[in-house]
Amino acid sequence: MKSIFRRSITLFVCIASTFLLSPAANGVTLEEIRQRGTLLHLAVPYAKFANNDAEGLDCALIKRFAAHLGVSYKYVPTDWTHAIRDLTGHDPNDNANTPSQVKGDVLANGFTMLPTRRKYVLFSQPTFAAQVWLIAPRESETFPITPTGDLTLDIQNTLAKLKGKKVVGISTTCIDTTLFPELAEAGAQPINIPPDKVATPYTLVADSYDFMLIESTNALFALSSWPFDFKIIGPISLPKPLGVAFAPESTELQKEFSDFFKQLWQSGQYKQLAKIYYRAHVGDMKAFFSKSEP
Amino acid sequence: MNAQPHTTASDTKSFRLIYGLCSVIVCFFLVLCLLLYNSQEKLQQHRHEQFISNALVVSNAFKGYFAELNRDLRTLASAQAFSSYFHNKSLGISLDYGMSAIISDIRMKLQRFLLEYKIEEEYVFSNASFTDYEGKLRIQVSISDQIDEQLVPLTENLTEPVAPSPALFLRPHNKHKDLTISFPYYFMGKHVGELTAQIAPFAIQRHLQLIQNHQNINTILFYGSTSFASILSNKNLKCDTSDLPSIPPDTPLEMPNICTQDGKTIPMVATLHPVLKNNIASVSFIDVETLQADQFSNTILFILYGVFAIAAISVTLATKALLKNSSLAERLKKATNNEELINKHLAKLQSEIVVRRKAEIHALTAQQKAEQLTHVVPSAVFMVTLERKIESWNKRAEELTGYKAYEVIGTSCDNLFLNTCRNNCMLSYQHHSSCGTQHSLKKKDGEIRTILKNTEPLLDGFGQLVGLIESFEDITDQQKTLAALATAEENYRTIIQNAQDGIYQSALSGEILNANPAFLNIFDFTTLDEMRDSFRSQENHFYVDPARRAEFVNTMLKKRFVTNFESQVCTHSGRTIWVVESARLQTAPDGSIRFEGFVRDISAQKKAEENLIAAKEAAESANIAKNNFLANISHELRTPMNAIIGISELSLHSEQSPEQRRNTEVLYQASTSLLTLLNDLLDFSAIDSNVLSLKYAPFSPQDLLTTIQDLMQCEADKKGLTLAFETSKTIPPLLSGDKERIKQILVNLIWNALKFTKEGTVTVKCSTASLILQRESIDEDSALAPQAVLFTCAITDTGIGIPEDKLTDIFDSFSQVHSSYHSSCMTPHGGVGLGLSISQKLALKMGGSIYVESKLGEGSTFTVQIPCDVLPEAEQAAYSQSQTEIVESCDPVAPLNILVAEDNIFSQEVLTQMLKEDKHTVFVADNGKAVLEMLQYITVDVILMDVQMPILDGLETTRRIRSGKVSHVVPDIPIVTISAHNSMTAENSFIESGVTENLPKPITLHSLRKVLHTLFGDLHPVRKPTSTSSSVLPKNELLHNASHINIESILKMVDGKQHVLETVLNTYLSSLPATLELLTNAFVEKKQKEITRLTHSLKATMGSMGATSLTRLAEDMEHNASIGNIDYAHSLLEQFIFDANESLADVEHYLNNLDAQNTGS
Repeated sequence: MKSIFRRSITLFVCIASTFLLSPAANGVTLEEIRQRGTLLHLAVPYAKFANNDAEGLDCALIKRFAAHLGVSYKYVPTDWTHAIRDLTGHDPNDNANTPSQVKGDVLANGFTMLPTRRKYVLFSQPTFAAQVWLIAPRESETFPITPTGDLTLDIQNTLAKLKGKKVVGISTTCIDTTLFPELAEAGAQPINIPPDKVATPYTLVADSYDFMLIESTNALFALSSWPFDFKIIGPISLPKPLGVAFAPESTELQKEFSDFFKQLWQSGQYKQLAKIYYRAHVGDMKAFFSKSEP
Repeated sequence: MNAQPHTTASDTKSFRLIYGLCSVIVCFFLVLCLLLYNSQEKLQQHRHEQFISNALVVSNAFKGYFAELNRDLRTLASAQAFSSYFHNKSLGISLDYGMSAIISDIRMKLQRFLLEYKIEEEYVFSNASFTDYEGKLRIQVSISDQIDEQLVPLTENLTEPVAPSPALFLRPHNKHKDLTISFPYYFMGKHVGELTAQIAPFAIQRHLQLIQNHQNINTILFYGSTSFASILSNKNLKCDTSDLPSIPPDTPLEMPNICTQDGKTIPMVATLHPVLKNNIASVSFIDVETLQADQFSNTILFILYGVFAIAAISVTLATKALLKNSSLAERLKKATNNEELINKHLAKLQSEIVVRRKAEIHALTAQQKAEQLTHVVPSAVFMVTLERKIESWNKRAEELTGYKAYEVIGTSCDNLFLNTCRNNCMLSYQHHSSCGTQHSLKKKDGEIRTILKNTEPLLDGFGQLVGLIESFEDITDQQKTLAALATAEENYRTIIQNAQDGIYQSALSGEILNANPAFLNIFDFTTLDEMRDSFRSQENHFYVDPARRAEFVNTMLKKRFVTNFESQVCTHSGRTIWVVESARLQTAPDGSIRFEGFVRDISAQKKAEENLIAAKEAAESANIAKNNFLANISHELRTPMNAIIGISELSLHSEQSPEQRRNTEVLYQASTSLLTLLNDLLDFSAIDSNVLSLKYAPFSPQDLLTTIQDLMQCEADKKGLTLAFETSKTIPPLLSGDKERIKQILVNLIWNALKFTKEGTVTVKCSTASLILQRESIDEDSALAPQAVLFTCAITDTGIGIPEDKLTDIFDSFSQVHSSYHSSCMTPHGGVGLGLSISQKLALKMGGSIYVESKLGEGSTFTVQIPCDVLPEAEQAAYSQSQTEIVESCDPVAPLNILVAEDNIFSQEVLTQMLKEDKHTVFVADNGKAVLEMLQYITVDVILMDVQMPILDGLETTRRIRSGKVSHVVPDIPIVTISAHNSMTAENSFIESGVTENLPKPITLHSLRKVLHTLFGDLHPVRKPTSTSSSVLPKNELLHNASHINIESILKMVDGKQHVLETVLNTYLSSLPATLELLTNAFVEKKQKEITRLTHSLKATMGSMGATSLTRLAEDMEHNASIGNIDYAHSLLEQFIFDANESLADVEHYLNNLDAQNTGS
């Protein structure tokens, strides 16, 4: 059970990788996709957005998009390190900006729309939203907060429990502790671990640190799968949008997707689709899903 | 007339019988009706019981159904979502941050549960819920009644404490109550909640319908007193269930007022069964009306009665018909009697027909057999009628004549058979059979054939002639064959009669059964009878040697043939002749044995053969005489040649004038060449006269080649040629063969190569190749047989070569083929070509060969191949060990008693010193006679015998000892000859005399020890004696002036024993002057034998002293003296004495220097 949880946390750690290089230079047109007859869906297996069997919310969404385009669907797995490179043909971490092979047309796996990522890719409208939560080992003496119904207040209550505690995040990711200056302000000891050093995140949380940051979608996925191994103390951040990424030059494809997604949203099918995978989230994201269009 | 009363009685009886039968049938039908009624009653009862049983099945199935639903609910409870809910709740996770997702998961699980279970496309559960007692939370999901398959989830926070539900209860649902099952949920051992599921009534109905049989048994289910499900086969059937719960369990009751249909009351039978404890019961009932409708009806009974009436009427009508029939039957009986009479006649007639038919078949069969017989007989068979028409014609006749049966049947036989047949036809002249008459036949193709015919008359049953049956065979070919045989026989008879060799056939007893004229002529008989009569009177017939007849007969009986059996026989006229006989044994048909063969008179051949043998023997004698002459004349020639060589050599040393010196050189070389030629002649003579014997012994090829190279290197150096030896690594270390002969061949070939090469290289390449010999005798022990190899040496020179057309001639004896070509390079040593001839004969004698390849102007290659055996490893080791013992250590053998027979004082002294050095006891005799005398008094282990001694020489002495006639002497005592003779003939004569070993002079201590080691090697060797004086070799300066003698060779001879050297030199100093004096006197007195003996002795002495020129002079003097050329020998004496005196001075000088050195040191 613990080993499975470790794998889950490993996936989680990869989600917030950030990239600091020049924009990509490769794109794809609708004509090219139609001539090819296949839409290539790049995805990093993550939470209930995508897995190796091409199942998940984003897989279902892109399958529908492929059907909308009239082409077949092909799942192309990648990883967090090379996701943007495989989409754009340029590795943000490569200072020499060496071109590489483009492997996919769209990148969709609960991809957080971080400002740093916007430098390299185009994003669709937000397709989902997720918070960052604080988790602790189940043996921790810290008790979860009592929800007040006010997210801001709940964040404050959560931060109030961090004084003198070690909070670990993963550098250059969306749970990089530097993105959360309020941690230090609350008296916590924010610590960042490089992504490549996070081999055993569960041990990291259980043995060396008091708390760890985790994205809500991944937390719930882990909670239902491995209950009683950790506990959710409370929220740290407001919801952050997730979306589908495109190569900077694939503006035509992005627009087509926007139109498609808008139709899907307005028909209510997307909400039904989201409830299949994130029923609880959809229930909690009433404001998000109550919009007339995405 | 009497038939009528009989008919009346029988009719009465029939009537009674029919009436009786009718009564029985009527009674039978009555009983049948009663049984049917009874069975109908039992069927009713059985149906009732079956109904009760089915009702029981329904109730039991319902129990199982509830148990199955309970299991479904338990499966739902095992889902992780429920445990996750309680786990995360215990960790305090809030609803907003985590728990909402868990609750969502629970909802999904409940929804899937509702959707999962269906029966006939209908959901089994209409509602499912999860309840947390402590949290007062209930999550329920239901399938809406209004919207098909729409799930309505609901989460309600309960305000009041929740009590656990019973496992099965009725829950109000809308207007009615549904049966609900409940499953308690335990977490960490506590009952913290429950899962409930509401069973849709429709699902219960569907399930019960599935398990019910095809009969429409109605069922109503009760929970307590509340009915919650009913299955009614008839939709119009209405039941008032209010009174049903009051029915006692398991009691079948008739309830006339419970059910109504279309307003009419329907009586029914019902039974109440408890299903789950007392909570649920089921009432099963059947519709009585329906049941009664299925009963056995009266119509069937009416039908039965009708059948009964029809049967009775039928019986009556049958009776009446029977009466009418009885009269008719009487008439029929009469008719039947008449018919029986007719049948008897018919049967009789049929039997006669059958008999006749059988007779006909028999006759037909006989005829067919006869016809078939004619077909299977190997002869042609046919029949003719009295009109000479052919009536039958078998297949053989068709084959012989070419006419088919259909072609000749019906035609006259005259068309086929010629007049001879017709003229003698039996039909015309005789009426008895004929056999073997020969006639002619004309075949269809016109060919006339000769036939042999048999004829038999064909008679009918009354003995009248009706035709002929005839058979014939074609004997045309047979006649031709007989004629051919007669001709062949005549031919053979003529051949035998005209044969030059005598051909005969006789019995085992020797009686001549047949013989041709030549046979009679050989034995001088005129007729065969005369010969038979003559042989009967002689027991061994004509054989001169009676044993030859017995040998002939035995051989015949044993081998069944004799070939070229030669015998001497006496003819009738008394002549004795030689005959050769070849015969073979034959068994006559009567079993008797016969000899058949031929005899040839070979008297003339025999005579010629005898003449040939005589001529051959004469030739061989002449050859031996020639060889002896050659050997003698060669020896005689060699003596003056030695003188010429010696004097010319001496002159070369002394001659100062260049012209004289050149002349002398020519003289020296020519004489040396001539001597070589003489030696070759001696060897050739020995080989040619087949007195040469080979000595096979182990030898080292490598050592042999090294020796040869040392020997020939000097000559090569003289001519400025390069002599190269290349030996293959595959050459075994030890081979078995005649080392000396191989050496002789190789030296000859290398010598020739050097001789005919002006410049360049002479290369000797040696190798061995495995050789598989056909050794039948050792096949079985092939593993133990020595491996044979072909020892091959190729001598290649860069000389002038040999013309191709002369290559085949160079091995001929006295071949001069090279003379015209080699004259330019011929040296005085050129020889006359015997060397190659000798070499080839030696090689052939050893089973080998020599062949040559040459190119004129470029050089020649002579290849000699000698088969040798490779010594087995064990023998190699033994040989190596023995060689080591002999060569390396050469330890002296254990002390022996040795008799030295030597007339030369110097040699006596040298031998004595050598033997004493090895601690042997030495006895000395001057001649053979002294040896024989001394042996009467002393016992010695070995005799060292000089060959040439006065009074009695060594060989004769040896012969006498070996003859065993010398008393007190063991005939096989080892005798080692000491000889200065070195020719093969001399050595062979030693062996023939019975000499054990030969020790050539000059004798060295090493060679002496070696011989003794060979003879007494098994004795323990004594420790090598240490030199008492000094073992240090004399210094070089002491040897400086010794020009005539060779101190080194003496030292080598005495194995470096300085004190022995001193003794030998002192003996030389003391004995030589006396010997020279004796020799001078002998010359003065011209005592030939004495001169010869003394010169022989001096030859040995000088040889021992290493005085080469003195040795040669002594040898020449000896030889000349021995042949009576005393004057010439005398002419050499002065030079000999001069040189001898100088040698004495050298020795004296040497000894003086040695003394001075010893004193000085």
